[in-house]
Amino acid sequence: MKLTPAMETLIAELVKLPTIGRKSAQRLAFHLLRAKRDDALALARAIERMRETVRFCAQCGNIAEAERCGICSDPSRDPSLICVVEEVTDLVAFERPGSFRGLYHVLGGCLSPLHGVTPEKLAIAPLMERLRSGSVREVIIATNPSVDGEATALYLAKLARPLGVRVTRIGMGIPIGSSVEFADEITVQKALEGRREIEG
Amino acid sequence: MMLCELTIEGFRNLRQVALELSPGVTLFWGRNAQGKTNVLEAVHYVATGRSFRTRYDRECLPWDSEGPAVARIEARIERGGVAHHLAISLTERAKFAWLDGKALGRLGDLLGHLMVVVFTPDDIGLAAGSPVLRRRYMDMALAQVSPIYLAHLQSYVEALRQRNTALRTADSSLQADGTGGLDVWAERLVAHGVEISLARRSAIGELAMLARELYGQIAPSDGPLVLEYRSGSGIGGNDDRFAAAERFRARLLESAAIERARRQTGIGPHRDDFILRIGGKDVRYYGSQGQQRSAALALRLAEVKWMSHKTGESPLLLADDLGVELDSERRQRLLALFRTGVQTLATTAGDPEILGPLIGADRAIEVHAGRLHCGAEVEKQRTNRPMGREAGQKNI
Repeated sequence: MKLTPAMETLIAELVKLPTIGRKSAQRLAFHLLRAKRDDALALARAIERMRETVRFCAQCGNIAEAERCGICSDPSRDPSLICVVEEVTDLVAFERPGSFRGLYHVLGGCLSPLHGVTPEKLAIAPLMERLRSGSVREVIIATNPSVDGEATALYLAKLARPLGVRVTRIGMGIPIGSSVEFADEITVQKALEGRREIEG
Repeated sequence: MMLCELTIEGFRNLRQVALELSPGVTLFWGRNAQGKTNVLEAVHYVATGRSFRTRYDRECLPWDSEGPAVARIEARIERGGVAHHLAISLTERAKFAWLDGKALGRLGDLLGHLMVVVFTPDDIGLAAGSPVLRRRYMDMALAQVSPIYLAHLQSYVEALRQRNTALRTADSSLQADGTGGLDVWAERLVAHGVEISLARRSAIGELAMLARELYGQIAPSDGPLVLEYRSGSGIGGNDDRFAAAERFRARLLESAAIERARRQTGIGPHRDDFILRIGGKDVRYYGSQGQQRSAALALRLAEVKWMSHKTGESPLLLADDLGVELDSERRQRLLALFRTGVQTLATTAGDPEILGPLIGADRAIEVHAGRLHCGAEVEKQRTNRPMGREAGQKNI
């Protein structure tokens, strides 16, 4: 059965969202219909405000509500250390523990000729510009450990090394809180390759 | 390892099959185009997630289903003394697999639970045909015993696709810096390709010894069968991991200009091969058809033994269409090799009464129009002739 045109429009918009199918969309639409008018409109306003105010940091590509994001404009952060990630969501993961005090650089994906993702389509040139400024000591490459992520890491390393910047790759291996027993073969192999001397 | 029970619901012409299997040799017989090979194919499908006859999954869907076509295969198996349940479903659009009732995220996770080795008449290609077949032979053996090998192989294939696309589109990721080193995709090829090459080299070394012995049993008057691994990345017989990577890298650098012109990666394990020689002569060019067929069988039976040595479990042997070609003396010796002691499912369009005893079949099942007609066990029948016959069932 067709619902009213306004409901159908809303459902059609909701279905466009990731992980939302027709049934979920319909449920959400009816929920918004039954909710208090103010609560429902608060969602509409939140979406509108987000789209009007949120943009991408001119320096690192993180989300921001000003020219620079909260991290880039924080004077207590160390600008000589840059962590390069694929997406903003990866940056969020690195921020969660709160121990990293350097800055970030969001690439916006990783290289993939098959999908037409060339270096020009990623924020690689702006990264090199930051590195050329001379104030950066070390760049940590935190792309995913996939074929494409590894190729991207190497690509960045090849460009960054001649600039006199120390290039490092994040460690890979057994997840903390898990145990060796449950790690798959590839992870265990990576963990062995990435072993290091015990200090102290 | 053993396949204890097989259930097929809608697979090509097989509508409904429920079968308990014995640890020995089961022979499926019947006229052509009745569905004998489909039974073997279904077993291969649930064991590996793919067919051994076609790249196109849709061909495996049931032929005459009402409504949406769904193929489903379940296997109760025993591995290391523990019972497991494997299942796979195929529809027009998707393929799902389960191990012990838990959905598997990747099809690759299916591999290795029920190891299979397939022997078909097309296997003559292993001795006479293109290197693709010999690479597939190495990959199927290795991937079923080593998940790490499979992971490297998948990563290699992905890196190769990325690099070939980059070469075709002149993607700027090919030129990272002006220092003339390898491009970043080629570095990924080296990282994964070296692991693949070293694993294949050592597997061929081990398989060669087994195949030589087996070939000696089939054709004792021929010279010895010898296998030589040929690396498509220039890796030598004694190179360690480091030397192998250096050599592969050097070969890629040498051919960089050619690859750019041809827009294709020409160096790497995707060009690997191995040579078969009998009495010093290359079987591909100088072998008789009988020699080629015997060498192919020796390779398959060597694969069975090799997997058993590697894992401590014997694979299931799927032998399709036995009893074709070959001179009769060679054929007798060859068929006797099927008394391997490993669980075997074999098919024949020939007379099961003649073939059964030759391969040591414990049981013969007629396949007719997509249905199985299970006779009594061969042994039992020899001592105790059945009184009547079921409709359509031939006495054996």
